[in-house]
Amino acid sequence: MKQRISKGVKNMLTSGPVVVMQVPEQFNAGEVRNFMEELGPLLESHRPRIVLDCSQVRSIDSAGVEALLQCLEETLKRDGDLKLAALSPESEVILELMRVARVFEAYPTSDEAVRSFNALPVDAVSQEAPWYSAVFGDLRAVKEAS
Amino acid sequence: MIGAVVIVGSSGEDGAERLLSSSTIQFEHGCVACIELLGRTVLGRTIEELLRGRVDSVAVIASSPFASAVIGHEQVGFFAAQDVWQKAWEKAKGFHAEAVIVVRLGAYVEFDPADLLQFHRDQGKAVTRAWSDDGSLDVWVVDPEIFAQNNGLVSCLGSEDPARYLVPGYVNRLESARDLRQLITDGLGARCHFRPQGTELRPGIWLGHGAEVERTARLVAPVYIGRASKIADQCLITRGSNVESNAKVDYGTVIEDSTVLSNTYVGIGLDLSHSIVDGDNLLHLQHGVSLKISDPVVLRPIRDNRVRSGVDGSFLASLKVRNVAMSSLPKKGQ
Repeated sequence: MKQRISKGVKNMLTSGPVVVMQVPEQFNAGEVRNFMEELGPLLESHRPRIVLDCSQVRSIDSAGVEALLQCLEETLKRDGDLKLAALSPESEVILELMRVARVFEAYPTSDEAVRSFNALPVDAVSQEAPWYSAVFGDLRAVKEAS
Repeated sequence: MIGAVVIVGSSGEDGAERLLSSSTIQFEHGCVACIELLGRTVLGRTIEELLRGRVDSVAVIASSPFASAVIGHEQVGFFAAQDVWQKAWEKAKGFHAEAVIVVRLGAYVEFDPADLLQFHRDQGKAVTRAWSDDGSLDVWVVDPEIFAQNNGLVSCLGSEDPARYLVPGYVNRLESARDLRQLITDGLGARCHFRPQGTELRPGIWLGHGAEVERTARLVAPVYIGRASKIADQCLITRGSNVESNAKVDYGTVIEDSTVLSNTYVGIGLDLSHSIVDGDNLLHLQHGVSLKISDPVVLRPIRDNRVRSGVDGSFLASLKVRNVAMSSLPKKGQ
């Protein structure tokens, strides 16, 4: 069930562990700052799972595209993911024009984007240290020793 | 003597819309006929064909002054008028010719004026109208004798059942942006006489005078690069794309199945496909979306002190309106 987050965050809904956020109609340099301020705390959380609802978007400039890429980068760094939903034809054209359309997973609706996260339950993913930690753990020990 | 009246636009006389075969792409200050495509406008090409086909004098009547920029011939007179049909009527009467050809642009129609005139004489009717397989076209031949019986060119053209001249050549009605792209690909593919203006560097690769293509840019035929345009390093232009005069495509951008109209800057590292761009306006044919790009890093018009070749920034904005409210005008005489 979706629930609105009240404290200081506008246009943001939670759906279980997935956060759905509306992207502003004019997603340009002026709006990007506010948007990033709103989304910032979420991006810093552990395994952020974010859906950006683009249904309202009518124009995106290069700053907007840069912001989307930055959000994606932050979520991936924290082992989370960011997906786009309800892309308007206008935003789709701009993302294609700027060669980033294929970088994002996009879904026709926010609900479908949220469900796509649930396709692989969080519990099914091992919460233990990743496979490479053994190798790099040893390396770190070597480095510290040196 | 044979005279010809070429009408650009259709503002003015009541009843003209009923007479015309179809509506064409319009923009605020004129129509698609005055936009440079493959280095030359439809208007310029039509005038050339008329002069080549035994027409002695051509009067071009347009509602927008920029159309004069594409004309430069002593046999051709340019006249701007709000009521183009009224002006055309005056000019048609003033020729004192044995026959007057009336052409209303912007469909692109390839016809032999000499053959049309011969057909008109053979039929013995006062008016002959050109037709294609899918309906009537806005090309007529009129005998000046019927001018006295009418009080305007529109009533003159519609006054009696005209003889039908089936155009054997290529016809593109230019009713939509898709038609415009089709004309480009047909021209590049040599499927019509709408040939690129410039030098064919390699088979299917055309360059206008003064076009600059950097060494690492790739042009994959068929493509057209217009005069004084610039293609930066690492660009790829392909699949029947045309970059018209004084346009610039910046580093690493890919242009595929698209038209970049004159005086347009296309930014760095973009992927432009299935589109027509004009300044900061973009029309995507597959998505059916018309956008104004506010980011000058991506798309912008190039300000040029030279006379523009009939392209106005509002062209694609109005295409959007045309696409939404596209309705062909009623066809008469079908």
